[in-house]
Amino acid sequence: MVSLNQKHWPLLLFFLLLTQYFYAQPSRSAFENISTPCPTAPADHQLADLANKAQQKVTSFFETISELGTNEKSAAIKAIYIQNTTKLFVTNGTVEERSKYQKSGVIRNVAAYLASIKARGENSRIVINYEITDPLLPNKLVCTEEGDQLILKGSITVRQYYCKLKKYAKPSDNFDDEAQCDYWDITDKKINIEMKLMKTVNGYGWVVLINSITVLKVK
Amino acid sequence: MKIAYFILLTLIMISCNNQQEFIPITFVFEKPLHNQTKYPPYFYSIAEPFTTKCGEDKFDILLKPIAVSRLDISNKEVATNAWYFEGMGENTVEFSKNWLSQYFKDTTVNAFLLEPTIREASVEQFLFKNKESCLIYSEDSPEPTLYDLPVYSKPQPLKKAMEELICKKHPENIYVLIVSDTKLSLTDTGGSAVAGNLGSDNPFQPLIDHSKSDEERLAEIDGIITKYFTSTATVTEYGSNKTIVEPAMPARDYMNKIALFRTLERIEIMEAEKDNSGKIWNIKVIEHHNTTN
Repeated sequence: MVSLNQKHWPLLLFFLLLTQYFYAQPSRSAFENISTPCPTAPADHQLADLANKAQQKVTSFFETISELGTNEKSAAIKAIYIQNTTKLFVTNGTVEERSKYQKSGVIRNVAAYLASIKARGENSRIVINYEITDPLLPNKLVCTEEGDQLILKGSITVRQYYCKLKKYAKPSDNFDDEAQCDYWDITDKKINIEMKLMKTVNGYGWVVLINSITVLKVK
Repeated sequence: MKIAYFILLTLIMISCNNQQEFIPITFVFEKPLHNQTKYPPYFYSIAEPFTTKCGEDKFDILLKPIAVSRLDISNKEVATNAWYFEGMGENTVEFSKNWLSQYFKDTTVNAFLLEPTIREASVEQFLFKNKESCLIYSEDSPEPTLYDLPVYSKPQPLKKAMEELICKKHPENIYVLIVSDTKLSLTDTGGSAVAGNLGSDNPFQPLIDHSKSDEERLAEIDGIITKYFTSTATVTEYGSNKTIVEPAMPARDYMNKIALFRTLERIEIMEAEKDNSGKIWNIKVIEHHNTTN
C-alpha cells in the first residue's frame, strides 16, 4: 500500500480541484446548432418553420401542374396559377423534365415549363399526382455565403406520377391504370430549395424559394 | 488508504459549503416576447444562484426549477429545462452558475413565450394574488411603481430585493413579473391595431371558403382591398413558431395566392396595423393547412 505523506497533499488537492473544474464545465456541444454552420444560423424552431414553408411551396407547385394538366380551369384562372407559381422560384428558376424514353432531360425556365404543361393539358388531359418521399430536414440544410448574402440550401425529393390520358378516357378514370394512359411514367424529382436572409419592413427574415427541379430517375 | 484520504478530503470540502435552499422561480409575462430567438440577458441575471446571509447563517440560494407563465394566455406555468444539469454534479453555486449561464446563452427561447396573445392579461389580478412573493421587472417602464410595488429596471437591484424577500418572508415560490411600457404589442405602431383571430371579421375569410368556385373567390379580392386595406398594404406570413416565412408580400398578390390554395383551412391574424383612416397597411398572419392531403 502506498502511504500518503505530507508532500503528496498539495498534489492530491491540485488533482481534486482540477477534476472538479473540468466536471463543472458545461459541454458546449450540447447546445451547438448542428443544422448549419452559418454565423447567424436560424434557431431550430425557425428552421422548422422554414422547412414547413419550403414543403408548402413544393406542394403548391405540384398542385398547380396538376390543375394545369387536367384542363378543368378557365384560362383566367390558369394564368393566375402560372403567375403565382412562377413566384415560388428564384428569378432564373428552372424545371427539368424527362420522359422514360429519353436519356437526358429538357431544362426550361419555370414559366416555359408551366406553359408547356398547360398546352399539353389543353391538347390531351394529363393527370399528375405526387408524394413527398424525402422531406426537407432542417439538420441537412447547408449554409453558403455568396457575396454578402447568406444562403441556406437543401432539397426535397418528390415522386411524381404522370399520365397522359387516352383521348376517350372517362373523367373518373384512374390515372394509376396504365391502360387508360397513352403515356405514363414515375419520376423521382429533386427540388432544390434556397433560403435567403433579407431585410424587410418587419426586420430580417428568411425568404424560401425553389431554385430548380431536377430529375433523379424515370421509370 | 489513498482512497480514504480522498473521501475524507471531499467530505471536508462539502461540509464547508453553506446551507442550500431551493426556491422555484417563475417568470411571468403579460405579452409575448417579440423578435427573440434567445433568452433576454435578464433571465440569467435574475435566475443566477447566489449566496446570502440571513441573520447569522449563510445560505446558497438555488432558484429552481425555473418556469415561465403567460397572463395573456392562461394561468398555467410551463417548466423550462434550464436545470437539466442538476444530476450531473454537486449543485454548488459556482457549478450551477456555469451551466445556467451557458444554458441561457445558447438555448433558444421557450416557444410558449412567443405564442400570440389570446386574452387580455390581468396584471392587477395576478398581483392581488401573489403580491407577497412577486417582484416586478421592466427595462422600459416609465413608472417607478405598479400597484404600489416597485418596478426594477435593472437585474441587480431586483436581486437585492429578492434576497430581502427570501430572508424575511421565506416564499415557497418567487414570481418575477416582466412588464413592458406598451400594454399591447400593436399600439406602438402609430395607428390602431387588432390582434388574435378576428373570426368573422377576418378579411381573408371569403378567400378560403371552398364552397365557392375559384372565380367567385378571386372576384372577392377587389372588395376586400377596398374595404380593409390601403393600396400599398403588405402581408407578412409567419410560421407556427413565429418565424417570418414570407416577408412583406403585396396584399393583392397574397390574396391571389390563397384564393387558389386547396389545402388552406384557416388564416390566423397575429397583428393588423392600421393607418389613421382605419385601413390595414401591414398584416401579420399564420396559415393553417390541411397537411393530410
